[in-house]
Amino acid sequence: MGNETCFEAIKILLVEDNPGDVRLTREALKDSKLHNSLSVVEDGVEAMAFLKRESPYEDAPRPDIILLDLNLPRKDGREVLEEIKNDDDLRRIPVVVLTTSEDDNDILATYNLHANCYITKPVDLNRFIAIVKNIENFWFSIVKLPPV
Amino acid sequence: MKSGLNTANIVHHVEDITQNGLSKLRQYAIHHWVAYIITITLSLIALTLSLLFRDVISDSKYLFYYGTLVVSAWYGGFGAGLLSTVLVVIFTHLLPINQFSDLFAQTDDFLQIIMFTAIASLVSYLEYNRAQSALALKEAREQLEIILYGAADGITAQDDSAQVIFANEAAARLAGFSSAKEMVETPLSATRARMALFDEKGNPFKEEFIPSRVALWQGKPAQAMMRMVNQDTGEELWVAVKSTPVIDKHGKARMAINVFNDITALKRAEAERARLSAMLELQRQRLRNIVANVPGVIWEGSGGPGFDGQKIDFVNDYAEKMLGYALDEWRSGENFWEKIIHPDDFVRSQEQVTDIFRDGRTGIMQFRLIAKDGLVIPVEAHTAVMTDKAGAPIGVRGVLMDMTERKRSAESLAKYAEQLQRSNKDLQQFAYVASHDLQEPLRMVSSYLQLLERRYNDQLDDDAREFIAYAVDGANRMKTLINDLLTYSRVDRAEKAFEEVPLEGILLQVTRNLHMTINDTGAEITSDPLPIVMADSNQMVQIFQNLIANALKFRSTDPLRKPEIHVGVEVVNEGDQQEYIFCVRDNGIGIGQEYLERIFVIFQRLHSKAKYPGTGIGLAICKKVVERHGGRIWVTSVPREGTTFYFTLPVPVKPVPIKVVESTRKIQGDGK
Repeated sequence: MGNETCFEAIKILLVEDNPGDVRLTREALKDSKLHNSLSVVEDGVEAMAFLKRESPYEDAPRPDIILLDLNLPRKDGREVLEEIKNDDDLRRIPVVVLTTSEDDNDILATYNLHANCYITKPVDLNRFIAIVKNIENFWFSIVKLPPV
Repeated sequence: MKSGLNTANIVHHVEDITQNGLSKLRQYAIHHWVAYIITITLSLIALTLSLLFRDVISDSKYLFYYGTLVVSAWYGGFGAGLLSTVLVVIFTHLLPINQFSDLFAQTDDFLQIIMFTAIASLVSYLEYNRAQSALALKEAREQLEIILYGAADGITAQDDSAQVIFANEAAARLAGFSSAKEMVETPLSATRARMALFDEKGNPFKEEFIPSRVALWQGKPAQAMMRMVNQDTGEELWVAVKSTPVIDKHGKARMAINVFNDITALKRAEAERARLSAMLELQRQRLRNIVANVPGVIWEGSGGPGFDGQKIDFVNDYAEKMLGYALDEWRSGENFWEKIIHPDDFVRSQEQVTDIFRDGRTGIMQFRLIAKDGLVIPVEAHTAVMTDKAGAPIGVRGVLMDMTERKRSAESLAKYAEQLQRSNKDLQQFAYVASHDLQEPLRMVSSYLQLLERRYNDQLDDDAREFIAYAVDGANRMKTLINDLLTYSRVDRAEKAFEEVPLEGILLQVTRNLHMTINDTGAEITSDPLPIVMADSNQMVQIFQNLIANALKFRSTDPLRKPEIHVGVEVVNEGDQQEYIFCVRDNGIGIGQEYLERIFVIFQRLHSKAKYPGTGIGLAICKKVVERHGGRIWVTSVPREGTTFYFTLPVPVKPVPIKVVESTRKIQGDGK
């Protein structure tokens, strides 16, 4: 795994409640060099079920990276983050918090919960596409991910 | 009165008198040959008489010699007496008498000689007597003088024309003479001229009331107190004079005897006492006024330790005003406090007063009083123990102040503060919401428009692309506006505590932040050595960055005129506080006079967005930050020449000294 991903798809879990943003992300990923497979859940509860492979996600693949929005219905992104990072197994999965807020308090809280990084979604599309590409590039071309 | 009296003088005087005494004459005579002359003379006389009357005294031939003997012995002493005896013997037995009878042939001659001798002797004796009397008188007088000289009081005697006929040294000195002799010798007019007399009221002393005059003219004793001012030296003294007349046998006053008592010290003490007394009375008055007018109850009570053992002795007028009870009711008796203190507070305040009494200290208590009409009045009581000389507590005193106003304003302040806090919280929430929930739809609008453009680029004509561009631009600007608003609202909500912020470092950071623009424009940024202030460091960055970014943005349109930006500082005194005045000076396009106020208003812009981008919030944020730090901001400008922004920050109370590196440093674009 990791760098030899030319043939294997990168599994991305997107936790996002806004379908508009989901679509955008998908569009941005379309342009990427790397083959990737995107799973989407729309709230925190679903996210945890997916990661723990609970019903209805018994067959869910273990994601290589999680893109997490903070403001989610039912279970908030911050809670999800906390749970992931407290779980011995799940904590190794890099969590990229991708959210609207630029607020310092949010950023601080997020890093305190051990998010791997924090990115603010830009208004401009081109910049958004660039960011998504950068995420891929950084986390899958540069960074060495933990062996599964 | 200390005149010339001293032991040596008195002794000398006494010695004189002893020397001039009757006995001294005797001594004088005894040791002098005069006595012997007398003896011989008397003996010769006795011989003559014996010869003359030898027939008559034939059986008592020593008759005449007895007289001689007695006188000789008395005046001449033992030596003369012995001589007389010898002569008697010689004359009566050894002298050849008959040979001398020829001497007395003529009875006339003989008698004449006798007469002469007798008369001569008598005259001598009378003369001698007179001398003795005069001597006795002189001695008596001198003895008297010693007594009078030694007297501390001045004693004078004036005759019926008021001329001083006698004065002792004390009197002479009081009257300003150098000796008693001088005083007696000076005529009355001169004496009067020497001393000006004043009565107790300060008026010149009328002659008819001067005691000696009263004694002389009215024949009765008199006394008075006079202030004497020496016209030559200006010296002043007070005397008490008692004058007694000496009445002759016709009932007329022949003499006045005056005794002067120097009471200057006494009078001065009296004046001082009167002055102090007046001062005391003044202070008492003042205190009374204060106590009466203080808007609080001042009270004193004896007894204790608690309120129940206390009787109020003193209370000021305000007490009546405060509660409506007459002052007499306050002082009526024991435990008036229980009547006026709110029952819920009584036990607690009783305990506190007891502590104050027992521990001997002061304390501040708060409780409620109930006025006569039932109104509840919260008071603050400052109470202290009163102790006797030994330090044992004997009572309590204190001040009661009506707290109604203070409480009311404290309560409304608390309420207002609470309201403020709540509204702040609301604002915070609103701002947060704005930052998120507003952004979301904005992103949708912007992103999808752009996606549209990307995907359907070939199918879009120029107009369509232009439309999309405007829409996207609108959304972008909306985002910037929202962000700016958020920044603006965050200025006051910043929770970062003020700390020591070195502005040198801030400037460095700002130039780093702006380094791209600085490089692109070829700008030169200089500064004075910048001090350390107490501030929010983030906000300091905001100010300097905004001002310098503006200076860069609004640079001269002349490409040869590179932006020159200088950051200066100076210290001024503003009242009792010191301030730093900072300036950011540029050589840019300048601002018209009519806009100098407007530019600090939020979102106010002076140029089109096409020419100079920006939302117009930068300066509004600067103003808010500066004001939050207790300063002011203003601007001066000359169009086409340049603009200078000024703002003040307070100098920290313990200013940290500026590390002087150079007077002016140039900061390069890359922030080095």
